[in-house]
Amino acid sequence: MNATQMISKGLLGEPALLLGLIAFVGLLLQKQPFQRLIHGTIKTMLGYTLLQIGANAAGSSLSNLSAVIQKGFQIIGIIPHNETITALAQINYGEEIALIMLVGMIVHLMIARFTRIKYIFLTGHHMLFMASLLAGVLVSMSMPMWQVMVAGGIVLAFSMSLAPLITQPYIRRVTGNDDFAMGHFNSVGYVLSGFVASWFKKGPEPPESKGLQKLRSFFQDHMVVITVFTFVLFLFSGLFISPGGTREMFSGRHILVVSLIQATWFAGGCYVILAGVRMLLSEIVPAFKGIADQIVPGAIPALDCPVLFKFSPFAAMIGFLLSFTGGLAAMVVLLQVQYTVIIPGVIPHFFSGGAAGVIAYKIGGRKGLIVSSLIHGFAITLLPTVLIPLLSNLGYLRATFADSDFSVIGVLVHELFSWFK
Amino acid sequence: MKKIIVACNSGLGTSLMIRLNVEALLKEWGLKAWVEHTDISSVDTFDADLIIGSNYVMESLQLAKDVEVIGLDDITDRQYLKSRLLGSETFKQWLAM
Repeated sequence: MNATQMISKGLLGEPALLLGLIAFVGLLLQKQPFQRLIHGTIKTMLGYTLLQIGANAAGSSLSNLSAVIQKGFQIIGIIPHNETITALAQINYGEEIALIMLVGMIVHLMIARFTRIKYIFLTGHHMLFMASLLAGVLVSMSMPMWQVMVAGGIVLAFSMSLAPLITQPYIRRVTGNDDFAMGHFNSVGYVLSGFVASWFKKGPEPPESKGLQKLRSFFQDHMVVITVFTFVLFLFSGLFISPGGTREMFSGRHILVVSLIQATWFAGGCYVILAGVRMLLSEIVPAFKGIADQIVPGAIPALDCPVLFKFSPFAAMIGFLLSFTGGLAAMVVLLQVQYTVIIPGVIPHFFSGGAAGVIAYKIGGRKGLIVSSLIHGFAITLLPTVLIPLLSNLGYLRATFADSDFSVIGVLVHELFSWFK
Repeated sequence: MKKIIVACNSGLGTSLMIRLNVEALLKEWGLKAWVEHTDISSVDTFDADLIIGSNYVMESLQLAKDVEVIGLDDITDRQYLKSRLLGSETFKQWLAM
């Protein structure tokens, strides 16, 4: 093995090592002590490995769920869940994803440094999700590795700069200033929500009821929510299969037991994926922020969407519930026209729907909140259907990307690069 | 060493941002502490001295142990975080040492 092979097959061919290297360089640039350097590098590599382990667990439960839904309803149910689809994409395209992220961060910093778009995108997990989407779409167009890396990196950089830019007019109306921007890839959804809400007039703000508070409190713990939701989904779908049918599928066990075990198995997989992503990003994001602080004076940080929730917890909760309702309506529409159905995800509707609800409420009051949230939920559930064929090279998957920008960017990139070929 | 846990729903974005602010403040005061961010499901698995997070996330916490919790109204403002930390029992004891 010669030196170049050693680098391409050995060092960079393994995503865990590649990501470790990125963290290592980031920590080195920050002049961290030796111990911290080793610590950060190893934790990044460990985080990546956790991601793969979690993907296997969540993926196995997801394919069981898919089999149950398919048998029960004669449809294919696809769950929009960013963490799962990203982890599944990592299994085959980890190398591309890591390189797209690296190029994307560098180009994004350059955009902030040299243009008037001064947003620094700090939501690391969304950066990772977008890089995974781009790798999936670009690899399917049979591009060579270096083109995937450059094209993917540039598109990632622009989406990280443009998402905060297009949402800022609405975010400013919520927060009253430019202290922070929205660094969350549901910007198309937020703009739609703000636009629809602007047809309505704002009224006085009602106080939050006790029941709503309790409900909100329940939805804070994701692992509980995912377990309950998956359990209900399994059980409900299982009821449409004969008892003999489910026993045949799950070696004689009752559907109640199967649902409970599979739900905890899926949530457990998600938990491990989250832990992996957290470990990975807790080294890379601070490094990125440290570099941005030094080279981009006057930068506006673009943050994760829950920062909006405090501006109106009431609207966030109603936004989530109505967005989810809109999502169910979209599912019913899909059922009428096609075999593949998007099952509305609780987590994307909670986050994207919640933040969209706050924007809608601050701009269009109660009526704005109601109309806008329903339309928002309908749209973000329908959008991923256009993405599914584009991710075909990732294999036969039962998960897809959840938030609106992933679908829009995926389709745009696909169209753009097919045109070039 | 003191242990500070910062928590949010998924333990990815918001908690990491607050953590970076906490770490910057600790550096400003010359204090050394172990700061970790996590999702709220895992909060109880850490043996923390102090738990920090946004107000509405902290409201839903069901802790087994008696530990000081700071719920923030504003998760982006570092000055506000500073005043809340300085007002906490844990930090009062800590800075008096």
